[in-house]
Amino acid sequence: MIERLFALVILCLALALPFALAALATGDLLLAFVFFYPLFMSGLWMAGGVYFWLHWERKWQWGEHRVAPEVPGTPFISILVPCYNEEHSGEETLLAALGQRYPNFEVIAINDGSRDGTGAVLEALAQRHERLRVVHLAQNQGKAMALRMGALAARGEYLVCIDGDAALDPDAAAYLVAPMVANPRVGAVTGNPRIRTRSTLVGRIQVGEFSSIIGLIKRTQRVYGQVFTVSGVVAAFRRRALDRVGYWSLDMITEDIDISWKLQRDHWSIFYEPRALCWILMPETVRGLFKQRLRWAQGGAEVFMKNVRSIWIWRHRRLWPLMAEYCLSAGWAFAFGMSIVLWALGHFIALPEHIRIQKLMPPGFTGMVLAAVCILQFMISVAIDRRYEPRLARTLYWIIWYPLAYWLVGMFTTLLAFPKVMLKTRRKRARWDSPDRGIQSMKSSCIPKT
Amino acid sequence: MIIRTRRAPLRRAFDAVLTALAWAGFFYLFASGIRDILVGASTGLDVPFWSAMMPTMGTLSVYVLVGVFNGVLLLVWALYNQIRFAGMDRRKPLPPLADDELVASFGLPGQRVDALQQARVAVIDHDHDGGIAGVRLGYEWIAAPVKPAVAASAEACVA
Repeated sequence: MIERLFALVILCLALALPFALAALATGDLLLAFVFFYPLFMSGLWMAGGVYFWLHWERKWQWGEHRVAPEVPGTPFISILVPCYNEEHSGEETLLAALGQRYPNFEVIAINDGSRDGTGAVLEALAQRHERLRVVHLAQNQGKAMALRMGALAARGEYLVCIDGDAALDPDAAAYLVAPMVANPRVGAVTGNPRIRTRSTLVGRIQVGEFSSIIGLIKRTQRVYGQVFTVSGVVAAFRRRALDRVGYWSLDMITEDIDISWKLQRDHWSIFYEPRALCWILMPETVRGLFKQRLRWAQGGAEVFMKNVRSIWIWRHRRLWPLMAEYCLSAGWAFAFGMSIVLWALGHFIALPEHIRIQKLMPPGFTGMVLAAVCILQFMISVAIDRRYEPRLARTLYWIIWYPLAYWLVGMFTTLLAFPKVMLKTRRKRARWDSPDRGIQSMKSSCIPKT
Repeated sequence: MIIRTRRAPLRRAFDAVLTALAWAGFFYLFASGIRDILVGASTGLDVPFWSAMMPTMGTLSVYVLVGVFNGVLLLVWALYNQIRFAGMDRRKPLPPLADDELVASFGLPGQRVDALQQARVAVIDHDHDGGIAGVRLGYEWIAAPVKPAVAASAEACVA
């Protein structure tokens, strides 16, 4: 009951604060926050990205003929692949996982009660590949449970977890596990997802977005020392650490954000390893992208709600800036939303002059600075990331859309997801949804939503 | 690795033109910023260009200063952590998770955990609350539409 009341108060605050800012100060101040917050964050991400590169990345050997990374002691690695209705892409995923150059590993495919022929595909593959094991869940249980069962069945202490439609680079598992072997306090390592689906504008925008935003954010958070979330599509975990925090939560819509917070609350470090490449399928339609981002936003809000009351003790002080950043981002979404409302209302009713927002476009000079910072951020990200994709600069043409894809989609999804989570009465078990995996797969996979 | 599905040339052209328009908007923002500065400079007839630019340069300096401050703050924090915690491990390295700990966490008999870890193929049944109801080994999987839980008998079943 108290939790529900608290959630309601948070929602009221999120709605009221932007209006109060406009009413007590001016609408222009609200708009200034809307324009300057992205600028502020952009500066931080660029600094973090450049520092990460100067301090670590530039010293790392990388190239077409690179040698396989050595992991001290060559520990046994278990690669867990939860699969739900992966009849079409499961084989490619598993063959890529089985193609690791690292000598000591197994692959466990967890068939989470698929309704298509996934089970038969996995069994046929297991007949041909010694390293592959298959765990069927008799009924669909959701990704978190599938991962839990994988952790139970695994023979290794180090678990590399990838999605059922993701293709691991031949050295990715070794790159992910090496930092955990070298550093006993590292509980998880997140990899570098690279987008495969680049047929439509939406697909191409995300290529730039993953480099210029997500890559820089991960590097910055690594420099800071705390990571908001591992990439659910490719991350490695120490089973000891997972066991201490109770493994993946079954009722969180994004189990990756939740497990990251749980591990860091237990003082485990999370590293980012950009050399651990994993090729992933992403939405190629606006609808698919929006649906995916809505899920991410909902997951972020759930983790916020789960932690916001208990995080404010000295033991968790290093997570405070992450929480503050989340609050500012959510506040930015509501501030932008309120700016649009005030701007629209101003056309129909007479608002007090100081509240009224004349136009939503940034003033000339601010617009110029925003544009210049955008370009600078693109260039820095491409300069850092092109070693992993030499032809990345070609995506620069499409990167112009990234403010739309990242900031605007982020705003709308936060505005929808935040109240949804705050008003939710009880969290239910999270189950699989039907993802958009690009336009190629749309004809072949008509997966009913569960 | 990259997937580029064939699309109608018209659609591809539409994407390219739309993106070109976005770039045009981007350069418009940029140009209007410069125009604002130049218009500001031209209002005072006898004011030299750089004198008119000074307020603008002042604002720009604030932006740059905030950016540099952010960067320096992050850098100092990173260096502080490096120096303070270099070579230090305040937490004693923990050993890999033992089987009995796994057994305790998942509430399964030790033998079943061991058997599950050795099995090439296994089926796990769950109850409504998400608890493990049983583990079946050596199961011949029968694909949908038959429900696997009631499809065929297993070699071994432990509830």
